Amino acid sequence: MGRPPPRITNQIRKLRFEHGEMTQQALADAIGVTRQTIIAIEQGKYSPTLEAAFRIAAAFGVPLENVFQFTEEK
Amino acid sequence: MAFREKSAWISLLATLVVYTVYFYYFGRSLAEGQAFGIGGPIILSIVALVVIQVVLHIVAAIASPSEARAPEDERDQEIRRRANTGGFIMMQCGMALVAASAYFVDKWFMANLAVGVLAVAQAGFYGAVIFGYRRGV
Repeated sequence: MGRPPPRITNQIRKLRFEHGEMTQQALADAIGVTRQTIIAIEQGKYSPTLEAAFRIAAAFGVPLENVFQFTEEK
Repeated sequence: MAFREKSAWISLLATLVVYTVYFYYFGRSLAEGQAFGIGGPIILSIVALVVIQVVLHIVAAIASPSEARAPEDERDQEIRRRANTGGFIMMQCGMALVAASAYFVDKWFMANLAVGVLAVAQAGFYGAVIFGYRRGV
């Protein structure tokens, strides 16, 4: 039995691309976490705290819902 | 691999190696019917554990100095918090077993049982940290 798909998905990879191929390290430095944490968030292995989520949205200059989406369980 | 995951691997392997050697000698002394004092062997084991971990952590830190200097972030803290909970539950259950063993075994065996519980709880903690980094939290 595999890991269930994450209920919180995100567009970080796409947003990094749209922001001049921002590196994971640059984003990590901007919000004060490690690059491994950014990798884990992108892969859906870690859901950041609300504060970190807002910081990520602020780093891209977009509203929170443009970065993170919550999928209702069916 | 992140430095903190490497650190957990180092600590897990050091714990397993040192306590496997410790309990090998403990088992051998039991089989030979000899007393196995806890003072000397456990102090030696703790010293070995500290030395192995310090040396390997220095090597790992030299390999990735910036990661080694970086403070824990929220994910590191969450992983450690969950692992702590798991390790603490293991230790509580194990210590209850040690307390119950007072009715059946002598004090030296009981003391070594307590060392075993601490070793298993410690290994469980590091295992849970590795699991947290691998699987996600």
